[in-house]
Amino acid sequence: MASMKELVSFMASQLVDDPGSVQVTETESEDTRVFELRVAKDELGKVIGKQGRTARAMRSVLSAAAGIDKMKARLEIVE
Amino acid sequence: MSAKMEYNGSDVDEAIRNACAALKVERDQVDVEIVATGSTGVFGIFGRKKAVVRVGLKNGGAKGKAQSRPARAGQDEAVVKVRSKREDVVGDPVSAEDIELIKSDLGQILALMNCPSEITIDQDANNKVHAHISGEHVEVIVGAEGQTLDGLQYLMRKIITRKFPQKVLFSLDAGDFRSNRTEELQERAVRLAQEVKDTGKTRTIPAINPAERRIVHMALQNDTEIRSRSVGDGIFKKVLIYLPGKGRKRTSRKRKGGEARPR
Repeated sequence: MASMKELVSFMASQLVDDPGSVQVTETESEDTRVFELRVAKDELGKVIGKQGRTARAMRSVLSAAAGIDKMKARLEIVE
Repeated sequence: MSAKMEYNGSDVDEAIRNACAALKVERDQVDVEIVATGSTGVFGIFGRKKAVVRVGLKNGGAKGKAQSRPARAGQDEAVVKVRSKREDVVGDPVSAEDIELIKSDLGQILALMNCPSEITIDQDANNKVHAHISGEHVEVIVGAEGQTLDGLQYLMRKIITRKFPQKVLFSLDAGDFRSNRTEELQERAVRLAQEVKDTGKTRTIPAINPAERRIVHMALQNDTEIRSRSVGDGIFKKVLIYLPGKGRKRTSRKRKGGEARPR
């Protein structure tokens, strides 16, 4: 679903101070969607979290959403 | 309060005993703050960490008056602040508009997940906000072992702390997941404890999160025949259930080659 990209950008923009800097690109192979998330450099920590906890939480939410369509999803946070 | 000193030992109890011995006072005359609980590490050999406690004399008492202990009730109880405070944490009140904001953010995420669901939110006496999700998508939202639900709860807490200046306590549930999971963990803990008593062998529950570890430890805390503790690094740790005096680092090394001592 197209909304998965929005899901990533919604979650990310709720977590950062500058939602305008949030960018998400999506590439798709047969059964996997790869989302690349970009945020302002000094806000990387906010989307990654302590020991990657925030990133992991976003990933599990994303995987659950992808699982409905029997797809896999990968979230990459790009510097 | 007098200056606090740090003492260590192989576990918290030993660290406290060491502290009392060094200060020549009774256990109930000191305030103890646990700095590190220590760990046995891998096979009790690698990554062993000592337990560290910070100890100060109560009432700033000098060593000299240690023997003349005032018999005031209530004062004599050992003040070990470990986790007891957790039960009565009170959050700041949250207005109806703020509740609506929380609800709409959560609703938005669920909608984008293609799991539009019904959300009900209420507050308890401690101002804790409980959000509950129901509807046909509950299974997806909970995920394997509640992973997705815990992820959502964590994200919502992050979003909430960013959005509101006050201290908001928040919990998220879907269907009957939390209560079922609690029951399941309690049953599992009790079952494993029985196995430990029967066989004398240490049993473990694999990596679970802090809230769930707490459920396990609480389920076993009144059972004096066995002990439980968490080992591992990071958020997810294993819980060991063992007989006192077993599963400790000293035994694991010496037992090698010898027969396991049944109890």
